[in-house]
This record gives sequence, C-alpha cells and structure tokens, in this order.
Amino acid sequence: MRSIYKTIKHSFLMVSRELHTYTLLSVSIVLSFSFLLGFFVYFDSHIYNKYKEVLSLPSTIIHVSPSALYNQNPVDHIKFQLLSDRLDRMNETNYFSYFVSDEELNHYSDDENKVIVHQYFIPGDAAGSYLYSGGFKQINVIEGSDTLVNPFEVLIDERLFSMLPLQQTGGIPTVVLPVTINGVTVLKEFTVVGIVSGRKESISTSSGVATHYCDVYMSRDLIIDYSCNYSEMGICIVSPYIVQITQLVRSLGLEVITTDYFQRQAVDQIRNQIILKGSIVIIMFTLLGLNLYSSFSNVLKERRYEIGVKRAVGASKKDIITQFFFEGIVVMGANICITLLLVLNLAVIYKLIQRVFYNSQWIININPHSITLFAFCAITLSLSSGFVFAFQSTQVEIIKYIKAE
Amino acid sequence: MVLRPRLFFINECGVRGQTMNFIVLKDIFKSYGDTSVLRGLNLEIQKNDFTAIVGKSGAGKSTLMNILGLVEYFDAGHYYFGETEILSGRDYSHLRSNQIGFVFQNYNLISSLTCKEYILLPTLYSKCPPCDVYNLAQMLDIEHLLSMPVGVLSGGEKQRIALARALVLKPKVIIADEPTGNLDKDNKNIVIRLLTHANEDGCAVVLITHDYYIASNADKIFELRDGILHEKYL
Repeated sequence: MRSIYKTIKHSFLMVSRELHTYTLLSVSIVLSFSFLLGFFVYFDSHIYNKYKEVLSLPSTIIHVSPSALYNQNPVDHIKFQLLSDRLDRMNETNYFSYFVSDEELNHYSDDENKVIVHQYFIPGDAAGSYLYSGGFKQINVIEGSDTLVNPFEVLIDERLFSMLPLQQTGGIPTVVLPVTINGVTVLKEFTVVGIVSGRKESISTSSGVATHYCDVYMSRDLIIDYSCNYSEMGICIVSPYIVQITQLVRSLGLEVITTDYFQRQAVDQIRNQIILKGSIVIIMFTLLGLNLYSSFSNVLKERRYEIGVKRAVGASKKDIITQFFFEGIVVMGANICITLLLVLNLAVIYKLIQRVFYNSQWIININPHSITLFAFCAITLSLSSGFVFAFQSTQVEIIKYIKAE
Repeated sequence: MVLRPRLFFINECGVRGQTMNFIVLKDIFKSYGDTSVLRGLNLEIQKNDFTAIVGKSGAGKSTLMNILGLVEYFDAGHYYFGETEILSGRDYSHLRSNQIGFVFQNYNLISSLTCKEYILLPTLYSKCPPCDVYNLAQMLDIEHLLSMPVGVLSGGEKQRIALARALVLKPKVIIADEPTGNLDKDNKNIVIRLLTHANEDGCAVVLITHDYYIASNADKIFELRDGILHEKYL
C-alpha cells in the first residue's frame, strides 16, 4: 500500500514536472471534451427553451374555435351552444367562452414608440385560465385583483402597465382604451384592477419606431351587454376527456386544438432530436477515443527514455503501469475540470448575449441523461486512456531507449 | 572448472573474507543478428570482489554489463544471481531494485527531477531502507547540488549523482559501466575512491572500463576478448 502511495505521489510530481509534454495533450482533451459538453449543454438548452412553455402546460386543455374565418356566423353560435350543453353534462369538465378583437389598435403611439393593444374579452373569473392565441397562454395575475367585477374594469399586462403615465401609477391606475360598439369606435376609461404577466418582447420597425405588443383582458360583459365588436371567439375547456371532446367538436364541424396534441408533438420532436444526439455522441466518442489514444502515444514517445531509466534502476512493470495510469487519470481529471469551468463560462456568456442583444431569457439546461452520458464518456475515456497509456509504457525496451538517449 | 553458486556459504551478515559466488555466469551466449558478441562466457563474482572487465571498444563489455545488471537477456547459458537462476525473458526488477546498483557510462539522469529526487528514485521501487542521503551526498561532495535540477550539472557532478543513486539502497553489487569515461582526473579519483569504499563495506563491484589504470584498482581483472573473459594479471 505504501508503495502504491509513493508511486501515486511520484505520478503527481512527474505530471507537474512534465507539463510541457502534456501541453498539446491537454489542449486536445480540453477542446474535445468542451466540444462534447458544449454540444450537450447547447442541445439540451435549445430543446428546453424551445419546448419549455408547451411542456409546462396542463395536458387537459382543449381549445375550440369556429372553422370559418369569419366568426360571427349564427350557425357557429348554435354549434357552440350545442357543445356547451354537452360539456355541462360532463364530470370534471370546466369551460368558458371568450372573444378577441383582431384590430391592432394604435392608440398609444409617438415618434419612437407604438403600442398595439390586443383585446381579450373574458369572463370576470377567468384569471388563471388558459387562452389560445397562436399558442396557449395563461392569464397569470401577478399583482392586484384577479376578478373583473364590472364591465369597465380591466387586467393589463406588465408592459402596458410599465408604460402608463407616472401620475396614474400613484393612485388607482386607469387606462383609456378604444372599444368599437355597433361599428363606432369610442374611447373609454377603464380601471386597471390587476396586472398580468405577459410577453416582453418589442419589435423595432425599419423606421426606427419600437412597436410594443400589449395584452388587455376586458370583461366579456362588454360583448354581451354593450354589443362590442369582436373578430374571434373560442371556448377553452379543461377536461380529462380529451378524446371524447375532440371527437364531439369535430363532429360539430368546429376546429379543436389541445395542449396534449402539442405536447405529444413536442415529445416526438424531442425523441427524434435525442436519437440524433445519441448518434452524434457515438461518433464524437469514437473520434475522441482515437484522438486521446494518439495524443497519449505521442506523450509516451517523449517519456520512453525516462521509463527505460526507471526500469533499469528497479521499477517493475507494475510500478510503471501504476505511475502512468495515475498520470493519465490526473491529466484527464484536471483537464475535464478545466473543461467544466470553460463550458460553464461560455454558456453564461451565451446567456448574457441572448439577454442583452436579443432580449431573450435563454435558460441553461442540461438534463440528467446528458450528465450521465458525459460522465460515462469522461470516466470511460479517462480509464481507458490511463490503461492504454500504462500498457504502452510497459512496451518500452529498457536497453533500447537508454542507449537511444 | 565447475561453476555453481555456493549457496550454503551465504551469510546475511556478509562477513568479509568468506568466499561465496554471488554471481555466476556459465556458458553465456549473446548475439545481435549475425554478430556474435558473447560466446560461452564464464564468470564468477564473489560477494566482496572488486572485479574489473576491460576490453576494446565493441568487445561486448556493455552487453555483458547489461546482462549482469538484468536489463538485457542472454541467448543461451546459465546465470545465477545469489540464490536465483536468471531465466531469459523474465523480469527481475526486484533484484535490480534491491540488490544491484547500476552506474551508467552516460549517467542516464532524468532531467525533470532534482538531484535529490533522482538519488532517491530507487527507493520508490524497493522496500529496503535507504541510507542517509545527506551523509551520502557529503561523501560525494554533492550536498550543495541536492535541490538543483540534474540537467544543469557538469559531467563529474552528474556521474557523482548517478553514483549516489546507485549506492542509496546499499546494494549487494555495483555494476559500473565506464563510470570514469567522461571525467577528468580528479573526478575519476573521486569515483574510484567511492567504489573502493563501497567494496570495503561489503559490496561486490564490477567495473567495466577500457582504462587499465582504472582497472588496476580492482582485485581481479578480466579482459573480454572474442566473446569470452581472460583473466589478466597486472
């Protein structure tokens, strides 16, 4: 045991003294493993960021909309009524209908900013529910009341709230919004009762005007009691009977979209990408193995004289194997640690670039499978490199290399 | 003459004056390709012998030393090292580490080590306790060099460092291949004096040289000629 301890200590000493022979090898290890780990981090983060919203949704949400583009057809109302009657008889099933105005109202604009307000007309107690607007999104109230008690109360998103005049944010904020009643657009003052988390992106137009898209959630009573105009309508259903409801909706000739469908589609895409990742990893693992074998062989060429001398003064093959195995492990371990730090820093830099230049929340993610796979590659390649390095070291003929020097 | 290791004479105390064949080579043959170097060579070395082997360049002195030092295999013959019959193709690193002190003509230092680390190198591979490095270094006048890297030393210093490495485990036999070949007269004398001291302390010394003056320090002198040893009387 003491002998192995001495040999391991000597391995550390030799690594520190032979750093110059390990320089190229170290560069090779760091680059190779950085490529592998960077690939994992980027790949996993890409998948995570692409599908995080879809996969975070409950799988029991169903959205129904009329099949025709023009949604104020009386037939659609009858179909919606039929559907509502059937849904009322289903257990564990909740639903509500809502309306959307498709007019992009340029109410707030100046030379630099333009605000486009997207209006949703929802039931007073719909906060916390999901709507569909190019994708499912939740009415997530982050501050204030989550209920619209009267028709002139409104929930607005964070962006619009941040743009309200300062004097309004001091007391009860109000916002003036256009509504179209019987074809006539008028400005009405609404009381802001709650703030909803919302999209934060703004788009700069070619003329240099920043266009901000904001959502407001108004009372559905405006449609029912005040005959406000709308352009879209839909029903959002939360039910475990996805298949039955889907069949029912289709039989009524309505359009249906479910979160379950999006999630299965996302899972299929993720599975395909994981297969692609696996194939790439196998190829990279093989190339990495060959690269390490070659690099360690080159290092050993420079150490054959030393091995010859050590063998001549009494080192057994076991001593040499132990020394070079541990040297291999130390070099691999140290460089893998450097790789981890390097990739982590690069990922943080990439995240900052995304944040600063693209205003995007890019979340660094690496899943347990990738960690396991990377650990497997690192351990396997470290051990095998150590063994190969150690085995090759015993192939040195003592006299040949002492004489060669 | 029948050459057999007289094992029953072995005395662990190594009392000077007792005779025992510590190393026996019998009918050793060695060739490189078509060139036959050793042709039935015989040699007996007793525990306290100071043996010199002389010969012309290319006579096979280094080959003989490498075979004696168990770093090169012979083609045919018998080799007894103490109680062990050496079989060609096997590894005898335990004998090299515990019983043989090797001094090479070209020093064979490891440039990445300091002098002290190099001197203590055999202790990594042996369970035998080393002698006091500072005493040894003082005897060789190299104590001021211990922390220096071996690469910066002069030829004489290198040879003394190499000799210290060979002596550090108090080996039973020192095999020195042209240890004075690259040295000036003063350094030659230091090296010979140390080898003589080691021999007086009970260590067998096999000195390979082409210098008859150096060889004259030995008790026995053999000339390696035509692949066999001829005893010389000076």
